[in-house]
Amino acid sequence: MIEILRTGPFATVQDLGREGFISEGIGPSGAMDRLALRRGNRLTGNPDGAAAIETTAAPLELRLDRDALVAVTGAEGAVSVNGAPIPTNWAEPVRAGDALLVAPSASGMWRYVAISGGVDAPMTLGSRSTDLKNGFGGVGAGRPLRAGDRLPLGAEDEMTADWREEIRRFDGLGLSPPKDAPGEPVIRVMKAREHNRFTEASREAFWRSGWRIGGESNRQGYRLTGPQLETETPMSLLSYGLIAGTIQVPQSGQPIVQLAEANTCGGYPKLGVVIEADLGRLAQVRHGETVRFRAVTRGEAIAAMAAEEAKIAGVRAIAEAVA
Amino acid sequence: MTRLSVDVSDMGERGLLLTADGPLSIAAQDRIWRLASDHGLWPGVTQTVPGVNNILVLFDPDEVSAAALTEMILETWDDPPDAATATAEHVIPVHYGGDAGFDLEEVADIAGMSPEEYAARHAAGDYVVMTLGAYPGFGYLGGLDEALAVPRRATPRSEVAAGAVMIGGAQTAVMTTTSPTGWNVIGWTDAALLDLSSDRPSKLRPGDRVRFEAEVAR
Repeated sequence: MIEILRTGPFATVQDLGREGFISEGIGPSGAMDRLALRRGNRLTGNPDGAAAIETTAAPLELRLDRDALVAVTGAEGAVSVNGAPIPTNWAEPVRAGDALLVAPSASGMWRYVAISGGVDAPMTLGSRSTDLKNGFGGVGAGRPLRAGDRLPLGAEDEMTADWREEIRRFDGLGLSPPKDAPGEPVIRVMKAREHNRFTEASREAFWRSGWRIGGESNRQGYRLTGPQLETETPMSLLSYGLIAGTIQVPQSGQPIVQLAEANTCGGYPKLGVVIEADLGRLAQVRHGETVRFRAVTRGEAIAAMAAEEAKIAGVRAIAEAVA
Repeated sequence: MTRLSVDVSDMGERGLLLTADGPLSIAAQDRIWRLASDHGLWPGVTQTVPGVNNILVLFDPDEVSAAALTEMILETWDDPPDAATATAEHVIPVHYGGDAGFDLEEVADIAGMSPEEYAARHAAGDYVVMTLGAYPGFGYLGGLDEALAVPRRATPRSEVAAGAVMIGGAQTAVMTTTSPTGWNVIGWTDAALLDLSSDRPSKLRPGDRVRFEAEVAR
């Protein structure tokens, strides 16, 4: 059991989302930064798809009723157990009754609290993810966590329990957190069907400008503010299926990037799609900060994700070497 | 066989979008439904999402290359599988107007007819599920009597209850979750069109036929 002692309005239960229902009007939802969630799960001996708690700009405090391994990944910020600071990207053995405090993210947006055994919220359509927009999954009818919530904790398998004891002897196990190059993050994008229907000036402005993450950005998508973009002639398309990463430009001329709770269909012209390896990096950019975009080919996108997969595999290798 | 011309474009590294050129046609739409109905048509495909005049094919690039998949999709488009599994017909009982159909009078007024005539003409229609989307299990129904088309509301409502029977431009639909919408609410049904405990949560499928049946006002 996980007891939520304190939380802000945006902490939710998330896993890797539900696959296969876009055509029924139900998007995947799931973690905003899936690679960060997977790192947390690997550190705590969980399968990649185990559910964790996603939290952001408010303190989250919780208590477990059994011993467990806990790892906080994603956006940086303070973490402490019973008031003593612990590192992020770190598998920390905690005891039943310990209080874990995850401070608001200090840089970046989304933090993941992975716990060995995983959050055992009920499954809806193959996932425990909270779908805030549609009101299902996670706890209650798809609502954020509240103080006083008690969430069931899944059972650790035998290997994880052994591993936890090994890690306790090492006094924890850490990873160096992934570091972005300094300066504005460069997000890689594959061009989409209407890219060349934008005016030359608009295309140039899109690829050359810095784009500020605007207000009204949330788990559904981020609004980008920058130069006005327009197509050669006004376009309203027949409805097409949407996925996370799709960059659309509505009549306002200011792009919107779909994210974890992407709409399932849309009709605005689409400039491009953010590659899978960079979706979490984009999600981690705070409101008011700027990003730039760079065009890549499918081959480059696949190679970028393969590089991320190799890093994730490295986490398991370290963990297995310890256990 | 008439060749319907199509193009295939990228939707990220895991997506290909096949789009039929030209205006919306039932022939193209029928072909899209047939392509979408069989997930086993192509190797490495994880999901197909039929749109209107297009189909999004999501795949695992470790299993199949985009080039090979594009070729297979185009071949299938030219020689599509037989008609999809028989489409269903749904009869949806509706209470028109009143407290639960609060926009009926205004909408009928815009259309230049009485609320009774508007409701009767809506219930007389024969509709086809063009696509699902926007909300879970939400079917965009084509086939609305042109005289009944009214624009969406200038200011969307922040919450409309599941079961609302609505008009949005030239389309009609039933709300399946309680959500914000700019569509006009003309009635209410207790028909359950969404079941999240089922692995096919939407009761409506693309290509299904829908009729509305007026219930006696409460």
